[in-house]
Amino acid sequence: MKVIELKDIGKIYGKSRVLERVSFSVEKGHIVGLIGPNGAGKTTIMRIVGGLTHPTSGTVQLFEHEEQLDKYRDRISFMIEDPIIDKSLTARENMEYVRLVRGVADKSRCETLLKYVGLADTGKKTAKNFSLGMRQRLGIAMALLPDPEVLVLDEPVNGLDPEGIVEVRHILKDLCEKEGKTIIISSHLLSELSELCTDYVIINEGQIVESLSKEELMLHSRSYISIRTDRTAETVAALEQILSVRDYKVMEDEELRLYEGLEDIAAVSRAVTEAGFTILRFALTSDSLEEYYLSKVSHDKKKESGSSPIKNLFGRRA
Amino acid sequence: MGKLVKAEIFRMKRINSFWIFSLLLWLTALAIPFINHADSAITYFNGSLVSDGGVMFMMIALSAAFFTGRGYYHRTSMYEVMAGNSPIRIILSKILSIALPITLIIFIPHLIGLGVACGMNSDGIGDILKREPLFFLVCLRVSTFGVLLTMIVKSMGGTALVYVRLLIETFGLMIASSITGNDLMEGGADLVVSSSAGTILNNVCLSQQGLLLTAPLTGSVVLQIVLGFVGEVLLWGVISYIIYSKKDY
Repeated sequence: MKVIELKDIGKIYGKSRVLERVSFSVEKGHIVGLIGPNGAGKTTIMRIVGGLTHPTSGTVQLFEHEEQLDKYRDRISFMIEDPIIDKSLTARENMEYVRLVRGVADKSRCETLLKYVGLADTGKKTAKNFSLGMRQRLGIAMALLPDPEVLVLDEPVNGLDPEGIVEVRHILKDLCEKEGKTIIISSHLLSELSELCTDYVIINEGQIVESLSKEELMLHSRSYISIRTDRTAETVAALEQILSVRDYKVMEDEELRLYEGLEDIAAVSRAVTEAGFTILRFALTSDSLEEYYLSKVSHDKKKESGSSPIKNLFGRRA
Repeated sequence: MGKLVKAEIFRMKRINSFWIFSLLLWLTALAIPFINHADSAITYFNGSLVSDGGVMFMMIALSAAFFTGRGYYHRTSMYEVMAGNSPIRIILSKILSIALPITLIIFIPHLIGLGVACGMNSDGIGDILKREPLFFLVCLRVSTFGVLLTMIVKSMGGTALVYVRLLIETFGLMIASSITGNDLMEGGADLVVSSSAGTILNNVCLSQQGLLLTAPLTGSVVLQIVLGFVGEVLLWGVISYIIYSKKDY
């Protein structure tokens, strides 16, 4: 079942086109990562789903219904931009406010969720005295309060410390795996999304660049040999000379990524050793979500400007 | 809608500014009968309410606008939309949770003040009691205006706009008074009720409502107050509905 479906959504603010023919759908029980640079249109998409922004064109369907979306929005919880918190109220009072707005009968759920996000001991401290991380956690607790079928989270780990990020990741994984919740999530921390999401929607400059599942991402990801030696530049020159390799990348941290010769990695290893270099790392691995995303977004930009920022950044040779 | 009303009242009750505003409204309503040294219920209405009604109405409108504006300042109004509430439900809930309680906050001490004035001299009390529902309706009109105007601008700036409207009314009445040679702001009840220009003024100007309340109680006066309420609520209600349905947050 498609819980959310956007069809040809366009949005224009004044003279600026923010979204153009955006179409994608979210299946029940999936965790969809919305990935894109700042200003790509991720938050606008979430605001449209939340009813805060009206699309200029296209249609939104919630739970396979196009009419009376307000009624179906009741089954979704949102945390868009910063958490919506009345800063003059305490954590408990904010939870109670949401409980009343959403008509949650079980009063004890507020306390349970405050404990869950580690805010049970905040007492009479008002939210204006909370740290960014505390507000973020309160926002998550408020979003979970009505036990929604779908969660729409915009940068939920923003401002959290590493421990908090891991906690939120566990919470979201639990929600999806044990309770079958559907989640749409945007984050700048692509490593977090890669551990969490079942599907990805890559968006750039208001357009969907690609929608793909985790399995499809794995298929698209290029495998490479990750090599680290005591002298990277010289190793590259030696490999070019001995094995005639051309498809590689030298990363900023001196890691050499070799995209060819994968069928005989022993020959590559031998070539490096025989050339007199000390191997510090040698592993067969594949591109991460981050790299795939960068390749997609830079490819998109390349089409426009004719240059690739990835090429400039990593000195990749094709 | 009951959920939204309960939630809004819960939130208001927990903020200090609500109690400060309420205290100010109470003091205003209680003090008005004695400001002009009223010695009977009649002078309370004819003396105090005419001259001080403008202040009372301004306080009601500003309070209503302020508490509605808080929802936009803290962005909780966004939550109401995302929780799946339709524009009409949100608008009605704001009227019931903000405009109505603020009206009651001033109406109850007003009745107490009236009781005190009656204790001094109850002449004409029967006529005055008939005006009380109309006074309540005017207060509700003023507070609803404060709520709806703030919902249209979707910010705390609504409070300033409420004040601007009342200022414009005052200046407009001053100019009209100088042109017509009648003091429209005080004691010109006969003119206001009898002339067509006066009828329009009464229906448009919130600050004139006190004047209308003190006019002889005829069917025309009742109709003007009821129509004034309906017109005001419909005008701003329709605009805020359109804004909620079409305009982005």
